Parts: sequence; C-alpha cells; structure tokens
Amino acid sequence: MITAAETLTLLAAIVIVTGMATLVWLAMALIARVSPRASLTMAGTNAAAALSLTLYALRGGWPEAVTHWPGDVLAVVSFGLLGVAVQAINRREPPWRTTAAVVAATAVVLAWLRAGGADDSGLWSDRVVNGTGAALALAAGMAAWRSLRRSGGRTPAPLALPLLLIGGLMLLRSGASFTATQYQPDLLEPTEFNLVFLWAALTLTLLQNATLAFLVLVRLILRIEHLLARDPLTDALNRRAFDQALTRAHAEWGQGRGYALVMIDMDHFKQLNDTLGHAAGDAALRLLAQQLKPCVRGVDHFGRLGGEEFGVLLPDTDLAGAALVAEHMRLRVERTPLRWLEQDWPLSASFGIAEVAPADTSGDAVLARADAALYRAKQQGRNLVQD
Amino acid sequence: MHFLDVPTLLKASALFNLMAALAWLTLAQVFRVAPRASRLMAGAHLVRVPLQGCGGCLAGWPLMLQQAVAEFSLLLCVLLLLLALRRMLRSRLQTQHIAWISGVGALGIALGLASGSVLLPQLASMGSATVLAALAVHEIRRGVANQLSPVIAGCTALPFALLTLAGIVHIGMLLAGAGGTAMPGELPTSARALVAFIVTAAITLSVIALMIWRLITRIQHLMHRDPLTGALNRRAFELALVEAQAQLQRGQGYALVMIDIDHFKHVNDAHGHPAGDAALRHCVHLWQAGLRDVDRLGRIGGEEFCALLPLATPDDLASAAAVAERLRASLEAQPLHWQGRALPLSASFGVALPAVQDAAGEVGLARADAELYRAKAEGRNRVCVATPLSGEPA
Repeated sequence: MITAAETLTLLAAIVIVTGMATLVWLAMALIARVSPRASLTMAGTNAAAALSLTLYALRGGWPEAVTHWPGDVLAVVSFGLLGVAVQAINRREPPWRTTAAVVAATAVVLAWLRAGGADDSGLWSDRVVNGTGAALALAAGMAAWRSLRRSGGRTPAPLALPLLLIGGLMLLRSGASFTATQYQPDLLEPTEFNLVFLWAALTLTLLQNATLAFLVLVRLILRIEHLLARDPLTDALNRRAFDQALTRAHAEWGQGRGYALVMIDMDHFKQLNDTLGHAAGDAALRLLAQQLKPCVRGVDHFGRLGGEEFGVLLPDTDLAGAALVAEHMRLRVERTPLRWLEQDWPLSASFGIAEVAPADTSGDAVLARADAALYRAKQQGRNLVQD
Repeated sequence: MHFLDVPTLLKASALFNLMAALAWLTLAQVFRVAPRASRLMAGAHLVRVPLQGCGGCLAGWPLMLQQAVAEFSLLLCVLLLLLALRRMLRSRLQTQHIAWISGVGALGIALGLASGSVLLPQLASMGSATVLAALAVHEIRRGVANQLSPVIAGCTALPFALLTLAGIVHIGMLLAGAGGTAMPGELPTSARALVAFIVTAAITLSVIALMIWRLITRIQHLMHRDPLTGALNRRAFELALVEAQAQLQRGQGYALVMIDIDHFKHVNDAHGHPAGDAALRHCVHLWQAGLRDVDRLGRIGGEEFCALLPLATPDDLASAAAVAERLRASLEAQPLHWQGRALPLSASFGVALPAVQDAAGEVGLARADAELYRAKAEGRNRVCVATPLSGEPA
C-alpha cells in the first residue's frame, strides 16, 4: 500500500538535493571560479527544478496563480538549462536562443491552456511540460554525445547518457499520459508509476549533477597535466616531458620504428641577453619557438631542454628527413629577426641532428650524439645544420 | 515532519550514499585523483548503505547483532571521513589520537552490547563519532584557513560542525532519557532521518569542495612555481618584483640578491643532467631554509636565481649582504651527495638596492646583476655588494 507520504518524501528529497546542488554550483562559479558559465547554468537548472517541485508540492495550499503556471514554466526552464550547461562545459557555443525560444513558446502555450479553462484537470499542461522536457533533454543529450565524442580522450561519449535517460524518462511519462487508462497528472498521487518515476528522477538528478562535476574535474586535471608538461615561457614541452617522450620513442624503436633527434641552440644568446636585457632574451626565445613549432608535425615532440636549448623528437624519421626539417627551421629563424625597441636584431640558431642506431642503449645516447653534432655546428661558424 | 515517510527517506539516503561511493571510486580508480582519500570517502559512504537501504533485512537477526551493525557502522563512517579529510588536507593530525578515540568508542560499544545495555552502545558510538567530527572541524579550519578566506573555511567546516552539534544534542537526549533512544530494530524519527540525510549530503559536498580547492591550489602552484625546485618561476618573480616596487613607493624597502651557481655546466657535463637537477634542488632547499617567509626566491634562469628581501629600513644593504653571506656559507658547508659522492657546490652572489622610479624593478635587477658579474670575475664563491654610491638613483 503506497502512501501519499512516500511520494511526498521523494519529492522533498529531490528538492533538498537540487537545492544543495544549486548552492554548490554557485560556489563553484562565484568563489572557486571554476568554469563559471557552466557552473552558473547548472546552478540555474537545479534552482529551477527545486523551485518548480516546491511549488508543485504547495498546490492546493497556495493560490493557483503562483503554483501552477510558474511551476510548470520553471520545470521547462530547468530542462532547457541542462542542455546549455553541457554545451558550455564542452566549450561549445551554448544554444541560448533556441532554448529561450522553446521555453518562451511553451510558456505561452501553457498560459493559453490555463486561461482557456479547457484544461481543468491539468492533463494537457502536464503533457506539454513532459513532452517539452523530453524534447529538450533528448536534444541536449544528443548534442552532448556528439561533442563528447569529438573531444575524445578522457571524456567518453557515454557521459551524455544521463541526459538521454532523463529525456527517455520524460518521454515515458508523456507516453503514459496518453496510453495508461489510470494516469494521474498529479506527481504526488500514490501510484506505483509515480513512485518509480520519482525514484528514477532522484537517481538521474544525482547522476546528471555528478556527470557535470566530473566534466569540470577533468577540465581541471587536464589543465594540471598540461602545466606539468609544458615550459611556461615558450609552451614547448619541458625537459621532463621531452625525456619521457624520448624514452617512449626508444622503447618503440625496439618494435621497428626508428626516430631522429634535432638539437637546437640559439646563437649568441648570452650576448643578446647582456645587451638588451632579460626581457628581450625571453622575447627572442618565444619568437624562436614560434618559428620552429610550425615545422614539426603533430606526432613530433618539440621541447625546451635548457636555457636557450631546444630539442625535436621526430618519430619514424631518418637522418635525411631530420636534415630537411632542421634546414627548414634554420631558414625560418634566419629570416625572422627580433623586433626590439624599434630595431631589428637578427637571430640564428645552430642545429645538430642524429638518428637512432643499433648500438644505442637508450635515447640519451642519441641525444648525446645530436648534442655533439650541435657542438660541431657551433665550432664551424654557427647558423648551420650538422650531423 | 509527520508527512515524511521515514523508510523512503532512509532509502533515499542509501541511494545518495551508494552513488556518492561510486563517484568516489571512479575518482580514485579512473581519474586517479587523490586515490587514497577517495577510497576512504567511498568506504565512509558504503558503510552507511546496508542499514539505510534495507533496515528490514536485519529484522530476523538477533537484537544484539542489529545494534552492533548500527553503532559500529556509524563510528566507522565518521572514522573513515576523518581519515579521508586528513589525507586531503595533508594535515599532521596523528593517527594515534584518532586510534585512541575510535578504540575507546569501539570498546564502549562492545562492552555495552555484552552487558545487554541499550544506552551504552549508543552513547559510546555517538560520543566517539562526535569527538571525531569535532576533530574534523578543527582540521578543516586549520588546513584551509591559511589559504582561503575565513568565510569559505567556515562554510566548508559547517557540515561537520552540524554533525558534531547533532551528536551532542543526541547524547544529551540519551542521557536525559528523553526518548532519543532508538530501540534496535526501531526506525528513527522523521526529524532524525531528515537531519541525517541533509548532513550526509552536506558533508559529501564539502569534501568535494575541498578536493576542488586542492586541485585549484595545485594549478596555481604550477603556474607560479618552478616545478623542479619549488622556487618561484620567472613570471611569478617578476610579478613579485613589481609588487615590491609599488611597496617601495610607500616606503617599504627591499634588496635584491642575484645568485648564480658556479661551474654548473661542469656538474651537468661531468655527472649528467639528473645530477644537475639534484644540485639545483639542493641549493634551493638550503637557501629557502636560510630565508624568512617574507623573502621571495625565484628561479630566473637555468642556474640563476634571485632573492627579494624586504628590509626593515630601505637602505639597509648591510643586513641583505649578511643574508647573502649566510646563504653562500651554508652552500659551501654542505656539498651535494650524489651517487655516494660528495660534490662540492658554490655560488656567486650580487647584492644591490632597487631604484625608486622604476615600475618593473629592472634597474635593481641590473645593479644586482652587475655585482654578480663582479663576484664571478673576482673568483666566484663570494658575495659582492653594491657600494652606496652605485646604489644611488642615476
């Protein structure tokens, strides 16, 4: 025997959960300033849901003008904001206009239904809310699936599942309102269907909030990993990340895939630093990195290994290929002077290349050979490629 | 509260705890974020699920066992919470204290069960749980208040404070015999169930907030610190310099010490890059021990560092020179121990005062750099100080 208290309790539980979620997302947006747009939108969707359900529970006790139409509209707003939040988290343009249009249109329809007096039992309002909610959630879910699949990596497409399930749930309810003979639009009515629906709604609310929180977390973690692996000045890989890439490349060489290294050292860097100052030195390094980066492919690893020393790891490349890349780089650097205090300062760099050979026990041996070649390039007058 | 159905509320709590446990496990295993703390949190949540989710399942069991499950699960939950917090805040709370409190509580529960008392097990578990919760509040305030505003620290500690308060109230009711005693197998009142649900949710959220805070401070640390040595990185040091120049306008003086490790390239060539890295870490570690909290040490080049020393009086070059000498001597006295050998290290120091009219602090840097150059020229492993004349603004 299902009592009215059971459905009411579940409703209260959902209100508590969404209410607390609102506070947390607000804190994330305003205090921690983590993904502010997405966090504010999540706060909005939870707040709208909490308000809507509270107004729903107050039906009968409070005036109808306050509880019915606003409650319904807030429910639709909540579903609409769900889609916006997920797109904001994925850094895609959130579908504000479409969502606002749908919500506005639904609000008008609902107002018309209520005013017309044709919908005393609230059945049609209920259908409109559920149907629109389903459409919004399903659309959001599919958009989320597509954009998550594109981002790939640690954010697999199945993370869009909660949204799709929410859409499915609302679709089920709308469907039931047409097919089930005993269907009651009132959520609080102690029927088996309502009980199951409310349990599902509670679970999915928790799940959807958790999923968004995960996406935010992944964003933070990726940022940390990026910072850990990069040189802050030039955005090249830092020494540690480069060494790790070299170790991996050498391990893969054991499986038949050769690689080559290019060691790069800016010429007369100390002079530039002493003459123009540290700020100019930094600018020169940034410019150098900017010139070198476009010469490498996505699979190559470009790293800053020392003060003015850079390295490029070229997988599946032999000595001749490395020489081509190095010469290309040398020309680009030669042709692009540093503009400092209204004057042009010519830049050049020396290059040393080496290819992995059977005798090499580790990547460091290849690195040492490339380094020795770089030294020879310096000896022979700089602005050269040497192997 | 009579309109609330307690079994449903309990089941909703169980659902919440179950999902929270899964979320923490995913964080630990898949994302590998704070793995040990996350697993402890997952445990804390899981421990609550059986009793809430299926109170009726235990109906056939002996009363003593039912009580045991109820009381031990509460104590265990709060214990795991505190351990998770300790990990997350990296607090220095000693495990002995936690062990003592939990041990006394567990003992109390066991004694109470054995003697057939209904009151004692509840008192024991509530008592220990409340003390542990109070400890949690203390740890949060201590760990977080240094870095976050008091408001945020308070908000994060609030759920645990609520837990402590609820525990105290409950103990009071138990002692006063005012019907707070739940007989084993009996359902709690709806007020208790509601409070429990809200407190559980609040605690979960506050621990998540702490973890996000930890990630954010890590990001800020990475953005401002040199990952190898922990000194300020170039950008952060330049920002500190600008800030110090602004302070200089208001009369708060400072000095700059440019530091360059002697023969660093030789260390790298002779013993390899890892040895060079170790040497850098060694130097920074020694120097930071010799500097005050207000001093800033930045790594501005491969083997080049700069220390920014706020001064009591703006022209007190002598005390800055004394600090530099102390750093020099400490490095000379403590060689780097590398692969069984003692590698002697030394550094050259240049000390100078900044110029007042110089927003970016470049003049001060250039002066200190000139002194550093002089130190290198005069034989290294020494401190060269700008003479007062050269410290004057041009």
